[in-house]
Amino acid sequence: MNKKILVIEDDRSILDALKLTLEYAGYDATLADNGEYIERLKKHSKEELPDIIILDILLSGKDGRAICKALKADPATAHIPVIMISAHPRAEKSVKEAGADDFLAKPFNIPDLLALLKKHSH
Amino acid sequence: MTKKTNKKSANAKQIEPADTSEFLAKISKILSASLDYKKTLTNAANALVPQMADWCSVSMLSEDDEIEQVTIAHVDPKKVAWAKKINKRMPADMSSPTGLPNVLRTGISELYSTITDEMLVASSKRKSELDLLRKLHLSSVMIVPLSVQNLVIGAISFVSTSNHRNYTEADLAIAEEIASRVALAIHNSYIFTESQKALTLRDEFISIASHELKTPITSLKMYGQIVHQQLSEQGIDKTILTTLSKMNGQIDRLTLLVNDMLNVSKIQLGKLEFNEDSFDLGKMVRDTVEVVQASAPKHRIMIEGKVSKRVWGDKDRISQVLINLLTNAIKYSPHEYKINISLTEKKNGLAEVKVQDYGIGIDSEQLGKIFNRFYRAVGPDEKTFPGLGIGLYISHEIIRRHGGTLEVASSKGAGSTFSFTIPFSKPKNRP
Repeated sequence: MNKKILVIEDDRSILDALKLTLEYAGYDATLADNGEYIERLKKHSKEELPDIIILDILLSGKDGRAICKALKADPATAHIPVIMISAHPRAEKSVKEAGADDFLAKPFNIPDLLALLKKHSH
Repeated sequence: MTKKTNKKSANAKQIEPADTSEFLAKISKILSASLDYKKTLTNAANALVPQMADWCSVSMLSEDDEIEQVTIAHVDPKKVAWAKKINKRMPADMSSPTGLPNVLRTGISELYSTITDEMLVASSKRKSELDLLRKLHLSSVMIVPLSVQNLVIGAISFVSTSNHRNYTEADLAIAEEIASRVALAIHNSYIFTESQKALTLRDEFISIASHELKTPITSLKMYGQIVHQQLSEQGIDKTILTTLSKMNGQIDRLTLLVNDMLNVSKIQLGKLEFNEDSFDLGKMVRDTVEVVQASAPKHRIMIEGKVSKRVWGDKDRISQVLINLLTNAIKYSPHEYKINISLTEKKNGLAEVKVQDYGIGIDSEQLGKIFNRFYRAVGPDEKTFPGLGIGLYISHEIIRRHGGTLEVASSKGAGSTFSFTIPFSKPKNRP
């Protein structure tokens, strides 16, 4: 079964490009353009939860780092690897502090993204 | 003259004509000491007492034409609080035909050589006000406008409470001269504050704009790579794939430019952040050279020397400095392809990295300016090279913030050598 990737990113164009990339690489991609989606995860059964979350920092009204902290604080979602992405090239320190497993600065190379997904796929 | 002076009360040393220029020079010095105009006005009012007045207050007109008393000085400092209280109890009425409101409205000075009891009666609306005015023992008053380019922005009030000091036209002339200097100081402070605000706004704008630019760059880069991969799997003509790779390279170049703009604005806003740790300088240099060499096939970058100890700093930022020095070396050596890097362990707790090229070199007159922000060499040769003039400024700032130095040695036509130092351990004065 394909691994499920949840992408939370407020820019539609980046979301579309990520969907193409992820599906081409054999992943199932679920897209959300705002941070509210994270509330829905609580209703998901364990099987329905994503295997990896790709999370942007600035989400038009929500800070991805706060979402990451909440995900990592909830026993139901704490195990899901979170890869945070941002146009701020120096955001690595702050996302790691928020509990993110990895960071990728925008714009990134697709092979770098796929390598991180592979790393967290086990 | 001595006789006249002797007549005055102890705390009212009135200014004499001979001292006027010296006194005005002293006031000017006070006015130029700070660009914080409220602080300057307070210092100036304090300096005007007791030479020019027993009371001195400066009032400013707000944008909505309200009178704000900015400062008040009294010959007896204990009475300052009392004076402020009176001002609160009896705020100036802008419709008043005389006094401070009239000066602020018309921009014409008022001189009352002698204040009579009738005048006090006429200007009081209530008995309580009259009682208060009588307690002030006002004997003579001058109110002079503060004007900037024919616009009245405030006024200075000079008040004498001594029966022996009655202001004259000569005093008024000095007061007006003081007011013109005070107005100029306020104007300078205003211009300074506004220009600082504009600079901060510019840097904040660049910071936001560079973030916004990255969003389309990110999707553009991804789409380019997706198309490249799909076409290469279909076995498409290699020329098209090469073109796509070149497009991707240009997107990376655009990213670097946007990052540089962001860095300049961060330096200006004091927000350039560093993630410091100890790292292997030699490895960082080799990795950086590999990346730069790949995009400059004609040039040959050689590394000499060795630094075996680890150094302290932000590896990515130091790599950014080396990339800047190497791309400059390549750019300004269009006909000489050799570039040497040498690594040295210095005895003063610093490692040194030298980047030497054999290109067009730098004119001695321009050497001192090349680390300035937005500076670009202006000779006929240099003008033909592209660039924003921010790379060396950013590099210089990064190295300086690490406790090292970035220096240059060069002469026209004989290439350039840029060298920077970086500490082996965290500088002691750092948190």
